[in-house]
Amino acid sequence: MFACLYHPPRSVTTRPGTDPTNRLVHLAHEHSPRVEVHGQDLVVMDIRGLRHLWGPPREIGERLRRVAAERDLGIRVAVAGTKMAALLATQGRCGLTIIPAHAEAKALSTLPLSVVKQLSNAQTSVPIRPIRPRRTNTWNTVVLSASSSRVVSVFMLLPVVQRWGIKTLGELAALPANELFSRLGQGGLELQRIARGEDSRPFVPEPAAEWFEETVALEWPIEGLEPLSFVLGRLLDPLCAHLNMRGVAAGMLRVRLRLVTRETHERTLRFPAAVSDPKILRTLLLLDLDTHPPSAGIDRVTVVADPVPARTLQFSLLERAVPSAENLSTLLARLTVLMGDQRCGSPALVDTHQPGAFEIRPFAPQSQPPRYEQPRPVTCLVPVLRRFRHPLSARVTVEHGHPVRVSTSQPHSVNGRVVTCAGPWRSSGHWWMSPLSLWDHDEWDVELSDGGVYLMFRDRISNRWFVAGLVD
Amino acid sequence: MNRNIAKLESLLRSKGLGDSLVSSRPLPVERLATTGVSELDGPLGGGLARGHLSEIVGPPSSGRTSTLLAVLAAATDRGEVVALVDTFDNFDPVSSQKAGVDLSRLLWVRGHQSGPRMASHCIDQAVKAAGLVLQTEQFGVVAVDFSEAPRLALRRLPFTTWLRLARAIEGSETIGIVVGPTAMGRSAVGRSIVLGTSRSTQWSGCGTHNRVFRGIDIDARVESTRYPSHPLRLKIHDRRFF
Repeated sequence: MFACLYHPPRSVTTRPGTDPTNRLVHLAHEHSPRVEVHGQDLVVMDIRGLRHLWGPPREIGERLRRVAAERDLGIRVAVAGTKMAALLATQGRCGLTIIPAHAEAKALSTLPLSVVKQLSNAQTSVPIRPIRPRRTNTWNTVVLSASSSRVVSVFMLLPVVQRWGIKTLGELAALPANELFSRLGQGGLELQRIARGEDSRPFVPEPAAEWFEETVALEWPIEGLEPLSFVLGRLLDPLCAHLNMRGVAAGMLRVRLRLVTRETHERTLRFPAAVSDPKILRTLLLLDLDTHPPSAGIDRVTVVADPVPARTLQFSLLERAVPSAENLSTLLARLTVLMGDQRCGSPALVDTHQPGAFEIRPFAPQSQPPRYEQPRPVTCLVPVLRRFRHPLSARVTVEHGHPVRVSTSQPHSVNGRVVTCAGPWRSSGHWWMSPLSLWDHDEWDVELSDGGVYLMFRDRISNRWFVAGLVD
Repeated sequence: MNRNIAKLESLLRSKGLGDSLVSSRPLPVERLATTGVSELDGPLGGGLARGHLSEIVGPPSSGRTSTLLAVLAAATDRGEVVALVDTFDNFDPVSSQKAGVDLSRLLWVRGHQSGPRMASHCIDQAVKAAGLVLQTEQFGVVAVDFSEAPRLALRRLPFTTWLRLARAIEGSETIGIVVGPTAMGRSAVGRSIVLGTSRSTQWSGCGTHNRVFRGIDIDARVESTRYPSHPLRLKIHDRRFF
């Protein structure tokens, strides 16, 4: 038995801003694991075997309508022995329609031919969007089923049949099949099977939502990363095999460690590119746990992957290859462990005049053709600044308004007599923000007797001198 | 004698050990990458050798960073991905963009500004980070900047450090560059660009208020085991004045 749920597009009970497709599919999934999506507002579900759970077909139909109504979803429900009969019944009748088994043709005989056109319209009501069920890390995509009961192909024959004076499905079903075939070919027979409510293709349920999770409960608590790496290997191998089998990869990995103290230590890793290699995933997890170790022994380990479509690459003969995302993820994770958070990435300029302002972005180079066949020949180099991230406090002797001697303490011993200097150039900003971010400087270019050229400034607020950088 | 040496060299090359030879046989063009500075490319024989460790050496304000950024800019122009291990966090993104470096293709590994007590720790961290980056063999240029490192701390590093770094990129397409105040270690085919043997700063205008820093003229030389030392003069000038 099949139950068809149809949500008429003009239903006034639908709340604005809600997506009836997803709600319809969820409703069907809550009552049956086998669901076939036919369009934006049309779903067929297999209700065989549900009698012991929900009762006879009528009670199932009533329950579906009641639950839908509770969710502000005004739907039509038809229960029949074939999909096609249920589909056509929802197009021709309102409310709940129950068609007994083997009586489909008789039940549909009074329906007008126009229901075939309505069904065709309902089945072509795309788009169907990917949906994510309530368990957020399951992967499921509603795809318009390759459709079993599509009436689009035979829809073009309807005007011909109507010109013969045929007005109902019963009249079409009663036509002699051989005569119909001689006039309309295979399409005519297909149309007649539709009118009789017969299925020409089997029910194809969409694949069930999958849960990419592996768990192991340990007999003895483990401490330290080395034993944990073996456990993670045991978990990640089947998990990645499962991901690969489905043609997806992990976009995010969540590891939950239940500790002997009954606490849960949870870490979430987001990858710049989808990864499905267990060795890489294990390395990344261990590197992360190295910097954020659990506080006690581990009792139970759970690894959950959030699947995303696997990465496909088209290599180019003309463009230079960039480091693969997998290698890059591992490298950046290792560097982060070594140097600390926010210590590696790609520098980017920010829209401000504040000296030394920049931001760090994730390093993700894209493959691109070279800007020039041969790099531009540079006839002379450009003076650049080596910036002291924390400006060095300096003792400066000032005569006649300009510095004549500079000395700093360790670490960078900037000491010497000023040979030449230029300035001051006033620079200020962020006075409209908090006082902590305000700067107000008099900048100087200074050449010292040790041969170095430095960028110095006098902070006008504290009246102190600093060395900001070295021209090199 | 020369014939015997030639036979020995050909034998070593046939065994894949030719990279360590120091004869004056020129490297193939495809194993060289231009620095982007025409005055440097000539003495270098076409550019820096791929798969080898070279060094840029000089005192403060001798153009070490300018030269390094020119090499990085040339590499990003070629579409390569580059990495900079910045031992004491002195890299200035604004200057590097003015020098022509494509920042989106630069992996910047930032160390920490530290005092002399922590300098050795920072240098060790930078060497480890450089090892990790070099091992990937997927970067066009990998530079390690020790410019602000105390000479004593650099001297304490075991010589095997440089051998290990050179070995990590041997035969790869990566150019390894070490920047520092003193010669540290380069591979057999690598070059040393020694900057600032003598220098003169250029200023324009009179009086402190009108004076503007224009640049530095630097005497330099390129040293290598294969070729004789080659002196050259580099002009590091602000482009605004041209």
